[in-house]
Amino acid sequence: MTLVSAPSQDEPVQQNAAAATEVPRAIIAAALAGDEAAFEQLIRAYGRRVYAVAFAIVQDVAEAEDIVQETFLKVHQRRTGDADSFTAWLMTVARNAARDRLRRRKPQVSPDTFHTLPDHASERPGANMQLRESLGRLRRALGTLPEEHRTALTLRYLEGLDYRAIEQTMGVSNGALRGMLGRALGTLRRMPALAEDRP
Amino acid sequence: MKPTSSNPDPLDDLLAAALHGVLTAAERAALDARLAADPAARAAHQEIQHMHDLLENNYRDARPDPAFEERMISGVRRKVRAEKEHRETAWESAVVLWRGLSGLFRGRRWTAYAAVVFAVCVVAVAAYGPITSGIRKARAPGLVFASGDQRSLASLPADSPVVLQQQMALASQPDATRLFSSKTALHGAIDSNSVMAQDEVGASTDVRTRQLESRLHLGKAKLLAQQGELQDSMKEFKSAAQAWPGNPDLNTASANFFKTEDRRDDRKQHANQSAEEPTVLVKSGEQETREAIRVFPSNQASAWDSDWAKTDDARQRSLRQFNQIPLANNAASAPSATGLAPAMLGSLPTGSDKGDKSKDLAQVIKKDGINYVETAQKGMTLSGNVDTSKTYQFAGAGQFGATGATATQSSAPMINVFGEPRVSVWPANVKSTTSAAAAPAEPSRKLVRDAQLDLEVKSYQKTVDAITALSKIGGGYLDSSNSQRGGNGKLQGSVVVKVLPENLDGFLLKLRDLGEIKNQSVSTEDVTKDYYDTEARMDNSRRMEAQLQELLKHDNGKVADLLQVERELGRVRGDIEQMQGQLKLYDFQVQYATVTIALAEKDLNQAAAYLLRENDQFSLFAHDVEAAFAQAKTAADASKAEILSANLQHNAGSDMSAQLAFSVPPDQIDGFLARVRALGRVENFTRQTQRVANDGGDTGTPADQTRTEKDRVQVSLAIRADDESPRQQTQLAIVSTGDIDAQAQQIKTAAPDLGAAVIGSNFQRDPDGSATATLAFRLPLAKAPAFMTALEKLGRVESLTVQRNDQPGQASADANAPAEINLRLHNAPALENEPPSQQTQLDIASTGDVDRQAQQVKIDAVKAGAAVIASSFDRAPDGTETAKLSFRLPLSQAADFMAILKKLGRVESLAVQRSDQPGGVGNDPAAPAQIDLWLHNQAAFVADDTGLWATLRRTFGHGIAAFLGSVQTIGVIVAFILPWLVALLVVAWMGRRIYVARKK
Repeated sequence: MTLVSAPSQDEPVQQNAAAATEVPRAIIAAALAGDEAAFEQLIRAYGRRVYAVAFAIVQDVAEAEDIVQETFLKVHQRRTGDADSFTAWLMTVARNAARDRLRRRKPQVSPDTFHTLPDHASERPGANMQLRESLGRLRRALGTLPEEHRTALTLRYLEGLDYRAIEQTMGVSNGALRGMLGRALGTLRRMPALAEDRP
Repeated sequence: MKPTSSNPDPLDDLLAAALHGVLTAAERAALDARLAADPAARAAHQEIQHMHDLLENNYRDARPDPAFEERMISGVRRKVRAEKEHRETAWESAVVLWRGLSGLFRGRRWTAYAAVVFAVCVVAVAAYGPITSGIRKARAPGLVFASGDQRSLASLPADSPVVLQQQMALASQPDATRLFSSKTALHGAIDSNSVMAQDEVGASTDVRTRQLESRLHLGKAKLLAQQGELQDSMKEFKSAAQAWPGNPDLNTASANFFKTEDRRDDRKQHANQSAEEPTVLVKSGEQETREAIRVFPSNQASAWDSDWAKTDDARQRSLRQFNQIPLANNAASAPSATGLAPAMLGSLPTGSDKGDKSKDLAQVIKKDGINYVETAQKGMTLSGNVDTSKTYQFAGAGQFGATGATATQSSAPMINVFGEPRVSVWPANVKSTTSAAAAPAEPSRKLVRDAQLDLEVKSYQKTVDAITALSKIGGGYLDSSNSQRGGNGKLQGSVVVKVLPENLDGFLLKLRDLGEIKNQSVSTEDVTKDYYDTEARMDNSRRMEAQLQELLKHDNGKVADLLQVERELGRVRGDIEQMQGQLKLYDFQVQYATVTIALAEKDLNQAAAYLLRENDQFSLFAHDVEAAFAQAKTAADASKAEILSANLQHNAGSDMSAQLAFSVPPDQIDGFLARVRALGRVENFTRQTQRVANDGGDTGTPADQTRTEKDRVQVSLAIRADDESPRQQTQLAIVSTGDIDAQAQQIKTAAPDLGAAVIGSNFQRDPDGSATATLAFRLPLAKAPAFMTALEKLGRVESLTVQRNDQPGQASADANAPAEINLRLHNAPALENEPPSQQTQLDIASTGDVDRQAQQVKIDAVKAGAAVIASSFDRAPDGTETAKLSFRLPLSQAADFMAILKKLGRVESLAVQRSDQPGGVGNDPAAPAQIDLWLHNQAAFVADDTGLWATLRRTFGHGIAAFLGSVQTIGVIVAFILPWLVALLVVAWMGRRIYVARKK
């Protein structure tokens, strides 16, 4: 008996596993050497992951996009990274930029910040009121999670990255990632605030 | 891959991994087994599945759209472009710096602190060397401006001494950096728009290039000179000098050039003398060349050279510039100049700062467009509009000899320097072969010689006789003389003597023996030209006269024509007569030299007699101005003095003043002044004595025989009311036993005889019989002691106060200064009212009843003649009784009364104080004495204020006092501390706010 089914192709989470590995080192090196076309290629390859990391921290779409541009602008200005460790360096830059943005933001970030997320349920006439309330509670609950857990969840559910890509992006091992995701989901399901949402 | 997990509940990890499809087969089998067996695991699975779904829904709208990448690329591209175009402002730099520093110092990064301090030290040490080096370079001698001062140097004119000094430094400094600084600054001065930016290597290269350029130009100049192309050679030479002013080869080359030219010219001159052709002479020496180098400024030389060849007008202008060069000034202000060309051309009038050569740069006489220059080295030089076909004559004055010199085209060297004729004439002693030998026979010179002398002699008449005799010896005569005698008998006048011109010098020498020459001038006017011109015109007129006469003889024409000829003949004859007269005048003036001698006897202006004029002025302060005014006039009559003016004025109120002026015979002045001085107090006496020459002569030191007479003395007197504040004020109180009123009248009567004026008096008698007279006297200070002695005889001096009001600058011992004495004369007052002469304080410890004893003492006092003026009695809670009594009694009875008092008990203390007045009678038995008695018994051993209640009361009082004191102390402490405490709390609160804000 198979109680747990593996995710199929029609599942919402898309698998973008090959994204990180498809960028050849030569392109990274050329981009760091000043090649504008190669740099655009880098933006195409890493832009969404940078967006996910930024969104995990600031939880705001517009700010996350600004952070993406800011991150690549800094990379363009410095170009000191090594091709081998480029991904980790890029994500570090993105995280720092997002944290700076979060620090400068006024008022201070609170779980209510997650209300800034577009509420697609309210945009649709006749939407389920229960779902909208559930999503509100979930956003507040996400705000209480550690940043790492939130980042892992965002990379997984926002970008649909597979575990290998997430490991590469976050610079963690498979076990650690599994632990992060498991604890994140476990924390969420145990949260009293989300008790109403339990089946 | 074997998954590793540190999750305490691996079920969540497995469920999550199962949801994400990353379970291995073994994990999946294990999970399925657990789910089948464990309902809780199944519930967990359902919950996680639900969370998974929620998360899917949650992140759906946050996913980037498909155009995300393009949007990001364009945004990054735009920002990169804006970053390139944007230039960071100072404010942005400061913000970035602040952010960096704030990030740096956030947390305990001691290494960062140390690194910053170390970097600052390193930068400071590194900057110290260049800064000090730059300062030293800027202070380097010789260089006026460092390279950074190009703008300031550029603002100066190119021929400024500062620029020239900088130019010298450029040529002399071996250091390439300084050369570059100097050259750049100089370059900026000449052309401020082309300041070159070069490094040190470039500077040294540039200097070497300039030196090489100078040498090249100099070589070309030598080559052209050898080929005879003098003009082009000059240009090259000048270019060499401009490229490198300090080129040492310039002087050597120019000296060699001129030596060569001199030798060549000598040869040409020698050859041309026989052929009698115009010669070209370049006369110059090395010294002159060097002077010319110094004299001629480069900018003028270049301007002159560039302009002169273009047009005739430019040539003329250049020539004028050349002739207007201020030689002496340039020699001082242009130590290193270029422009050798004019000097090499040889006719430059040169100056020198050595010796008197600059004086030899005589006059540049511009007349009819001809420039005439005299120098010691070069003789006379003509330039300008000189017509070479003409003959120019010069009077040979001064160093060129008395015979003069004549310059002609054939006899004088000429050089076509500026495209114009220039004629040089050499003095005979310098170049006799060129001028004197070729000069034509001179006509006789017509010289008019005059001399003027100012002679101071002992005797006018004897001197005139001697001059007459000398003039006869000199072949002349005394032409005229006049004299006048001054008030002091001294003679002065003038003598005009005619002597033969050749004897003039000897005659003048002889005159020196006759007296002291104060002034002398000799002049010679050459009238040769005018004389011969007049003579020639007269010859022409004579010929015309003859022709007219011939016309008259042979003409048979009209009468009108004859009349016209007659008129013309008359005019011509008039001219002839006028010219004859002129010639005769010339002849006479030439025949005899005129000597005009102004004679004056010694001490001509000395006065014969003097008058001693004396003028006395003073102010008289009198109490009665009107009386003093009348008495002064009386004194004038007694002294036979003449009253010049007398004026009495009544001013506002009772104030009066008078002014008098007298003319007193000199033998009466002392007596007159003594009388006037006695009228009051004299101040500001000034005497002016002036000696005046009686005959208006000099008022200097009189000679021994000069008489001096005394004139009548002018005395100006101003009488004013004596309201001056007294110099000494005396307050005197006298107790008299006699009749006060009578004594006051007596002293008022006697006061004028003692020199005192009564200025106030008052008498008062009270109902109690006491009489008081108050009198005020004003008198000269000198008379105050005698008057005081008289006053003190009136009775006993009760008090005496003397106050002096000496003013700075006033003589303290001025006998006439006003003094004021205020006398208070009264009879003896009641005993109790008079201040005691002796005061006794007696403290007696009584063993009996104090109250009773005090009453007894009062009775005894009345018996003893003492008055009880105060008494009190007090009983203290501790049982102490104290009686205080004061008695007033005559001094003579004090001792007896004291003996009575001492019997009251044990004398614990006794104090006696005497207050004798100065000059008073200390032992006056009637003088009052006061006795203060303090009579008391011993205190009780146990005070009344004892017991429990009293103790409690005192304790409670002390406690309240201590409490109030502590309240006061606390209040002060709070006032000290509270403001600081509040301030500290505010600072701490703000710091915490900042800390929390940064931490979040």
